[in-house]
Amino acid sequence: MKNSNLVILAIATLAGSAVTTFAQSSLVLNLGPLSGSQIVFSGNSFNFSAATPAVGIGPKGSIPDQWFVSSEDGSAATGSAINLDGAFSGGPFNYGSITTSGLFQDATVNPLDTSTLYISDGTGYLQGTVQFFDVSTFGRAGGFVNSQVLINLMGVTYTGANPDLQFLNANQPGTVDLSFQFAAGGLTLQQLSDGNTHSTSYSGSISVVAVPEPSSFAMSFLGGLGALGFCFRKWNNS
Amino acid sequence: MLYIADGGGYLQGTVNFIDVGTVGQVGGLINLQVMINLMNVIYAGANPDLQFLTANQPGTVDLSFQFASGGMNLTQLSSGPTYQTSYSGSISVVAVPEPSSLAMSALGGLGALGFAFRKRYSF
Repeated sequence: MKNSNLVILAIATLAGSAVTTFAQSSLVLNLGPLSGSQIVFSGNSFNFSAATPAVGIGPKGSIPDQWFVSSEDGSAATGSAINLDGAFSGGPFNYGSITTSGLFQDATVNPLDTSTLYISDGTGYLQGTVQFFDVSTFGRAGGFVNSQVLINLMGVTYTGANPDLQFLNANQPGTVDLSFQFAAGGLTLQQLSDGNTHSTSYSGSISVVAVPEPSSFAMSFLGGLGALGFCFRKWNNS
Repeated sequence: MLYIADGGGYLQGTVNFIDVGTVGQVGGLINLQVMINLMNVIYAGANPDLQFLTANQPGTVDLSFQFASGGMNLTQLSSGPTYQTSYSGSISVVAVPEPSSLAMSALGGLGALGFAFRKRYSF
């Protein structure tokens, strides 16, 4: 083989290993509310109501389910989590003063008001801690929870056999984002916080991204360097 | 077209989504101004809520959606590949009193006022 071809091969090997290393696999579980479950605003707090009728999930079936995984996305998605039930336990999730910037209204959720996420696999369950960070509205049409898409899902534990839940567990921390909307004139965050109870449906996304371990990256990089060194030596010898 | 099945039949209506917008990278909303966008609702079944929706059209349909893992804005969503996520929505109508009902109420109020006026000045 010509030396120039060897160099090209080495560079291709190095580039290929880098691409392989950085090709991050991801998993997104999209969720929607079960019949009867809503996001409920009352004063300066929100919560999630149980499905009607509710099925108990989590420890000893003590947590009423609220939502189900309606679809999946991402390169690691196997479809194994679709239709699994889940819930955000805890609450109410209190938020502080509301800041307004144009049509955007936002308030920080009390950091102490964390939620435990549960996803039932039928026999066992995954659990993790969620920090909702903030709640916001845009105009009167609707709003979001975790508007900055920050990493807010951690402490995930799961010992079951569901592949998607195993992936979620293995690649934590992750993000949990929610959206909601209002019709009939809509409501701003200020109006949602007027002391009356306001409720509506919601949807959400739970995601994790597999980040390559430093050791894998180092091995790939060293392999590429070795290939380049071999080519350099061959080149000089000739 | 919007369809809602009641088990035996269905309601149908026309929806104009009007606009779609995203807020930062977290997600977005459809019908951002919460405008009236549901009309021509037809329903011949017996479901009370669907009957109310039909009787009190037009209405509004609003949807929300969100993205995780870094999020997406509308420009990114429109870049060519297919993106998908879950969504939720609200459909609403508000019962507005008919002009005839309003006129009758106004006349009734005027009558009551007239009666009170007459009673006061008859002493």
